[in-house]
Parts: sequence; C-alpha cells; structure tokens
Amino acid sequence: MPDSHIAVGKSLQRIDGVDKVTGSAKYAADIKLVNMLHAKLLRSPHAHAKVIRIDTSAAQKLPGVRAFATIFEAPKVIEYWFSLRTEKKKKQMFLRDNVVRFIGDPVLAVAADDQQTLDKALSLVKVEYESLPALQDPFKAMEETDVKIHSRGNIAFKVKKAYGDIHKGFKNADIIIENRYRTSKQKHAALEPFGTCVAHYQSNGKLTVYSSTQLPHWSRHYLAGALELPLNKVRVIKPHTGGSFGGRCGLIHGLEVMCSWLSRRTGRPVRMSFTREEDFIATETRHPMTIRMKTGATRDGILTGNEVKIVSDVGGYGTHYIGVIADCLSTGVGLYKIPNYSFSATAVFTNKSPGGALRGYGNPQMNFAQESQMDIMAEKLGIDPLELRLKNYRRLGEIDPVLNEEIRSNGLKECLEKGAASSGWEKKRRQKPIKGTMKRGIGLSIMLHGTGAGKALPDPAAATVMINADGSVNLVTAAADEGQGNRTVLAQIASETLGIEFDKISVSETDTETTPLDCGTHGSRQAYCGGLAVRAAATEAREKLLAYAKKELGVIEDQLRIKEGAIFEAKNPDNKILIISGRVIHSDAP
Amino acid sequence: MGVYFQVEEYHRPQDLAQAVDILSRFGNRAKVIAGGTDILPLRPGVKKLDTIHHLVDISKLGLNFVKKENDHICIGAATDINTISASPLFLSGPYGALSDAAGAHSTATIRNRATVGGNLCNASSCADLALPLLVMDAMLVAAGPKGARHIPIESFFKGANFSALNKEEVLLEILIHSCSEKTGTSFLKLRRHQTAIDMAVVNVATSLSCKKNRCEAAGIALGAVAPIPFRAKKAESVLVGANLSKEVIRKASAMAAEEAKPIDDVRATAAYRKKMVAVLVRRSLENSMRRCGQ
Amino acid sequence: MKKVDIKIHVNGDWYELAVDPGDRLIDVLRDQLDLTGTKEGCGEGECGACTVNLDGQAVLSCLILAAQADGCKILTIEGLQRGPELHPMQKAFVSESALQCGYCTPGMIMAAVALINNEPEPDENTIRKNLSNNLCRCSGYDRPVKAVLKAANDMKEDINA
Repeated sequence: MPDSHIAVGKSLQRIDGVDKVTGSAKYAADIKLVNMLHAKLLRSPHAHAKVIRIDTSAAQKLPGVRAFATIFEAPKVIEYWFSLRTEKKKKQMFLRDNVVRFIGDPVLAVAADDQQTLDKALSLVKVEYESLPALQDPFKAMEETDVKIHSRGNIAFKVKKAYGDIHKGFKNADIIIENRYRTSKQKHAALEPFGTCVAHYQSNGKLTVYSSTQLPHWSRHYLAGALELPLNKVRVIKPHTGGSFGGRCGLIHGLEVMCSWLSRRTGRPVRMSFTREEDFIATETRHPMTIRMKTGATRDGILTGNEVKIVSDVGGYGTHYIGVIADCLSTGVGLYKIPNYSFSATAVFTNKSPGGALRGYGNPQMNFAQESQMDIMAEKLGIDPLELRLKNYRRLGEIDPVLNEEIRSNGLKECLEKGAASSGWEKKRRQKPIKGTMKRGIGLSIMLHGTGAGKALPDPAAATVMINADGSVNLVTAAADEGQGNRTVLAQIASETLGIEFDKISVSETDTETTPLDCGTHGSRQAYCGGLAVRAAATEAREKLLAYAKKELGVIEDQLRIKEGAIFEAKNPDNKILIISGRVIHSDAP
Repeated sequence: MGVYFQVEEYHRPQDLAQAVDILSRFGNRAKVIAGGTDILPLRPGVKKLDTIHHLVDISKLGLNFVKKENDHICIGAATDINTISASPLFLSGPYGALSDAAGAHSTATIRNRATVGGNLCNASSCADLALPLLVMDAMLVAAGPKGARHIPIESFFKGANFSALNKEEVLLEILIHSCSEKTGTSFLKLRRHQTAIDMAVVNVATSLSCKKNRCEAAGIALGAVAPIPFRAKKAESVLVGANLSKEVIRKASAMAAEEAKPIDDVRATAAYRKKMVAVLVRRSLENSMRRCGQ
Repeated sequence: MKKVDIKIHVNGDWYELAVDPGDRLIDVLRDQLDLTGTKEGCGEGECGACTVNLDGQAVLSCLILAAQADGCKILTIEGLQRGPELHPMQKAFVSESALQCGYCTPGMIMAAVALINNEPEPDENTIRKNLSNNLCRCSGYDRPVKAVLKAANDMKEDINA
C-alpha cells in the first residue's frame, strides 16, 4: 500500500458529474432504438375484480397498432429475491391469472407507432370485469375468509418470535405503557418516475432490456423466468437512474415484463414509459403498519420486556413483505437489550397498490413506534430520554439475537454523547417552556439498519479489475448507481488499493452481459460489500503486476510503487519498469 | 413519458377580430390559450378521449402591456405575471396588493408564462390576482363579435371555474382607476407549505382609504373560502366611517370570517379556513393601514 | 389533426419543423431534435426538470406548446457549453457536488442560468425563490444554491478579466 492516501479520504469529483451537467447522461427515456414502438398499459379502474373478457378487435383495426399482451399471458412477478434460492421457489414468483387487485393494476399492454395511437387504441379496448368486494382495511382483510385477494388467502406472511419470557418481563416491571402507532403509505417520488423500459427482443432470441433497476442481475433472473428464456439470452442494461430510494429493487409492476412481451411479439424494440400519475398509483410504496407496543421498565429505567404486534399492509401484491418485517424484528431486538421480548407480525394483502422497499425498509416504521415509546417511557419515569437510551442500548460484546453474532463495534454511546454536547441537549432540556404559540423542542432518536441483507438473502458482491498496458484501469462492476455515487466510491477504492491515480480508473456500464454477478444496490451495501469485492480484485491485480515487476527489478513487492504507467522502487525511483513495455528503464537510458 | 396532449387544431389569429371569429365559429370546442400554464396540465384520460379541439393563441396580439393613463392604469390580459410583479407602478401603497399577489402566484418560472388574464378567466375561487383587483374595483374589458364590453370585476366570477365571458369573447384588458395616495392595499396568501407552488388555503386582499385614523373606504376580498372570490361587504361596513383601532380591525376580521363559506378539501378543513380568514384579514388590514400612511 | 409549421431557434441554430397542435416544446426538443438533456419529471409543471430558456427566460417546456414557441430563441442544457468548455454554471454544479442522480440537474442549471443572465449578482434568497420550481429528491438545495453563487462570482470575474 502507498505511504499516503491517493483517493480514499480525498474530495474527488464524481465520475458522472460532467455527463449529467451537460445533458449527455442517458436515462431510460432518452434511449431511442431504430424502429422503436411505444407501449402503454390499460389499467383496472376497479380495486378488486375478475377480468372476464378482453376484446381488442376494434383497437386492432387502428392503423399503427402493432400488438397486445394481456395478463392472461404475461405473468406478474409477485415474489422477489428470497425466491431465487431454489427452483421450486422460483416458480412461485410468477402469477398468471384473471384477477386485478388494485385500482391501476395492469390488464393489458398495447404497442403502437406513436402516443396518439396508443391512447386511441386503449380507448377502443373493451374489458368486461366482474367486480369483487374490495378490502381496504388490513385488520378486516385478515379476518375475511370469503373474499380472498390471493388464492392462498389474505394473510401473506405471519411470524412469531420470542426471546426470554414476556410474562416475567412484565411482572418485573414497575411501569408498563402500551400504545398503538400507525404509519402511512409513502411514495419515493424520485425525480425520474418509476419507470421507463426499452425492450428489444431480437430475431436470434436474445432479449435486451434497458431499465433502471437497483438489482440488474436479479432483474435478469426475473425476466428470464417470466419470459421463459435461458439466462444467457437475457441482458439487462441499467442506464443512468434518476433516483430509486428502494423502489427499483428489481422489476416495476407491469413494466418490463409487458414491454418485453410486446417486443417479442412484434420483433421490434418497444418503449414503455409510466407517467408520474402511474408511478404514484401503481408502483411500490412503503408498507404502512400498525404497531402495538407494550413496554415494561423498572423505576430506574431498565427495560424489562417489550411486546410488539405488527400488522403490515401489503397491498394487492407484495414482493418485500417478509424482509420488511424481518427488518422490524432486527431493529427491535438488536438495538436495545431487552431480556424478554415478544414479537408477532402479520403481513396482510389489501386491494391497494403494492407495498415494497423504500429507504429504511421496515426500520422507519419500527423506529417511529419504538423511539416514540421510549420518549413516552422516559417522560413517565421522569428520566432524560438520552439517559434512557444509554441505559438500554445493546453494547459492544453483546450477542445480537437475530444475527446470533457478537457486536464487534458500536459507537452509539460516543455518537449520542457528541450529539448531545454539540446540540446543547442538557441546557435545552432544562429550559422552561416558552410562552406563546410558537414553541421549540429538541428530541433524539437512535436506530439500527443493516448494510445489505447478510445471510438473509442471496447478496453476492463481485468485481473485475483490468490493468491496461498503459497503467490505466477498467473496473467492471454491476453496482447500480442511483445517484448516490457508488461507482465513484468503488473507483476510489480501486485507486487506493492499486496505488494508481483516481483519474486513471474507468468504471464499466451497468450491464449484466459483461459484469460479474453482484446483487446490486440496496441497503447501503455497495460501499461495504461492493467495496470489499473491489478491494479483493484490485489486490489480486496489483499482486500479479508486482510479482512480474519484482522479477524484473529485483525488489520485493512492498518496496514497489505504481504511478503514471510505471512500477518503480520506492527508495530508488529510477529503478523502474513501464507497464506497457515490461522493460526495465534507467534514468540515463534513451 | 406518454403524456399526450390531444388537440385537433392550433390557431394563431393575426388580430383580435380573427380570434373572435374563430371562437364564434367553434364555440364550445374552442379554448383561448395565452401562457398555457392552466391549459396544458389538462390531460385527457384514456377512457373518454376529451380532446380540446381548437386552441386559439392570443399571446401575440399585443395584449402584453402595463400602461399608465391619466386617470387609470391599463393592463393587457396577456401580460405575464412576472411583468406585473416587477412593474414599478404597483409597488406603491394604493396598488401594493397587486404586486404582492403577483409575487405570491405559483413560482418565478411559471410566472414568466402565466398571464393575469389566464388567472382571471380560469376563475378559480383562489385566483391570486382576482383579489387585489376586486378591492380595486377593477373594470374588465372583453371583446366579442358585437364589439367590446365592460364587465365590473365583481360581476365577472359566476361560479367555480366559471366566468362571465361568453364562448366567443376574449378578455382584452383590465382597467384600474387611479387611487389617491391615502389608499393602501395589501394581499396575503396562506399555503400549506409557504415555499411551495401550492394554491392558497386562504388568500385575502384588503384596501383602506384613510384620513387621519378614520376610514373613508374599505375593501376586503376573500379567496378559497367560497365558490368564487368575493368582497366581504359586511366586514367592510364595520370599517367605513370608523376610527381604525385594534378593536375595529379585529371586529372586521371576525365578520369577514363569518362571511366566508369554506369547504373541507385536501388542503384544509372548513373550520381551519374560517379561522385563518380572520387572521389574514387582520394582518392585511394592518398592512393596508401602514401603506396609506397611517 | 392539422400540423403546424414552426421555425424555432435552438442552441444557436434555426429549425423548420412540422409539429402536432398538441406537441409540447419538450416533445419537440426531445423527440424531434434529439435533445434529451431536458427531462420530464411530471408533465404538469410541478417538478421543473423540464426547465429551458425561452427568449432569455426560464420556462417549463412541458407547459408550452411547440406551436407557441414559433419564432422564439430556445436554450437547452446542451447549448451551454462552448465545444468541450463547460459553462461556469455547469462547472460549479460539478465542483460544488450539487448533484447526485442528476435528473433535476439540467432543469436546475437552466433556471439558474436564466437568473444570472437577468440578474448577475443575486443573493441567496433570490436564488432560492427563482429555483423554487426545481425539485430535488436526492441532494436538497443547499449545494445547488452554493453552486449558483459560485457560478455568479466566476462569471463576474470572467467579465472583469
């Protein structure tokens, strides 16, 4: 490793900055292929209905209408990467039926020459629906047995976990509080709407899809499954993305599958682009939750027990409902050391737009409930809310019961103390309330969030580092940059590890055809997981290069440096070798 | 993105007569467009193809001006709102409300295109520019097949998004008679988020003409609390002839709140709106007082 | 549906185009002229991603009919640089790290460019007011404001140099 940092810790310009400020960075809707058709979805006006018949005969006669695809043929992807583990589970990912489950649920897709024709065509399609009772309230849906949103019923998932003995926990409590918290159905509202897809199914049977996805390789798997194609015939390219915040973890409901289906049917590239309105009504949202929490503590502020009951509103389809609840559990049990814990959660289908992943996953809901509960407890006990956290957080050396691993680093106490000091916590908490209608307050909250999915899901990271003959580098990674700059970060890590200047590192496009299998971008994982992969690849590349140089220069590896296309001896820079020629050069040589 | 705006034909008339002629020919199937900021967001759904058949562009008919004449100020209907906001004519006390309202309308970017005429003809009950013009007793001039006619602004708003203009008429200009220096006007707008593009939860304009501390004339206009923007006449009568004490202002504000007939909607409840009318009217009256030099 | 013939001046060149009556300026720029730097974020004038300059003013290209732009001078994000040399506003947005996903960036830069051209030394309040139609979901607004202040300063120095 070099003596001083060359990239990490330095303020560097992001590698895609110039492309973005000049308008040359291409996002999905900017991609135009020759002979491209446009596509649009006809969406259900009913919250819950059977689609009895679809009549496209009038629409088909319109000049410029090229193809249709209906939900009778093109499957919906209804489970996500949990299901990639086994072939049996993979088959459960796809649903072909005649039911629409929320207002806006796609019924069919049409491909036509231009936008006007699309609108006219959709207005001529006749759909016969049999309206079914719609369930909006997850509590009612849970109990309902006659109206089933999915064939297996309305309960998507149910789990109970217990640690210690909750009854003992409450018996040992001097004070018990019980509250109910409710969170809302939030939308990501990324500046680039969810979503746009350009699909091109070529005559050789190869499908190429341009779509902004956080998980390009998994999108490839889902598309291969949905269209029943082998993986080598599916290529997913992620163009620049205008923000995702969790909403592009795979495919967008009704977008890529329908678009690909139409391309296969017509043999032409097809672009489907959702409006902002479609984004809002028909793509994934945060899971709204009702969380009942009953917490016991001693008079001194030591938590003795916590009973958590969650009802999570999945919507008409769910892809993340298990992971989101797992997140609630891990944040509850991991963050605070509560010896007696009872956790139960039910994820329920309702006739609303699908719940999915949104920044924080299940943590914001759980944290809202948990931290509000802590504040209420602190108030009842007459203890400083900061002190209450410090008394109960799970410390270094403890075993996290969900991960079943020891906590090896934990800067929470230091963080809290620094935060309290710099915000004037003590003084402000002691201040008497100001008179008048405008009040000021100060509060705090702590949280725990996982980086990546750990053992819970397939979550691989991989990278390839190629050192070119002139000493410049190509870094190949499937890290999906949604704007957060992970491709820049990975270039920094490669630069630092290799000892080669940052501006000599180029990062590949995000293309499943050429990048090694990497889960992608979710749960803040790229800097850590992707970074470890890049560091490993860069280390190996550097070692190979230096092993060769060592022979030529007669100097051991840790005495060698790489800079400006040359490998040289640190103590004697004239003793060097050019990467391009592999020849030893001396200062007085021509 | 697939946001297609369906229009059959776009017309750019050479002059006013032509514009009126096109409107007469196509009646209900034609719509005037100037800035376009209220028109283009109207998008047809897919089930029922609502096509705007004919658009008649009046933005280049010389209706973009602010002119000071002897006894009045004349504003062209197609004057963009930023021009009104920046005009030195409206910065002073008697016309301050117009400047306030122009600056509070949507955003700077939209105001480069949005026009005062468009704001009035859209006839929303919360039309920002309607309120100062109401308290200034503005006169609107419309041109139709039978020539021009004058419409007092109080008769212009007929119902929600429904104005007194006939289908063949074009709004030409807005006349504001000159005010004495002893008049002060003010406009206030309450939005859910004060920095956003949002429409008003409640907006108000007030006008006070004072001699020493005595009110000679008063105008209070309320927006977003009835189907149309309107003058709160009972509240005004509390002020006229009275000495403008804190108590009188409070009484007038409370009366204005009573005259308001708001509804519950996504932006606010009727109850909140009523309360806010009183607050905004009071503050606006205090501003008006300052501006008429009291 | 009757096509409309228009002549528009875009980034230094005149174009004669036939457009649909309902075509918006953003459609013509992106689809007919292949200038995809201008982005559509909402189609309703709320997000500002489609901001361009028309006759020197910041406008929302999703709220203007192409037909209405006849005879007008349009400047889009692609028209800012001189060859490979970036405009000071573009440089400032990069150097101040005022962008992440970049989707709001062209619109924000165009709104800022119009502001600086009309008002060379705006204060922070004026900048925020003039950029209030440009929403950002990644970065927030502090860094873009800093970038605009820096660009204004750099442009002043260029003029004085």
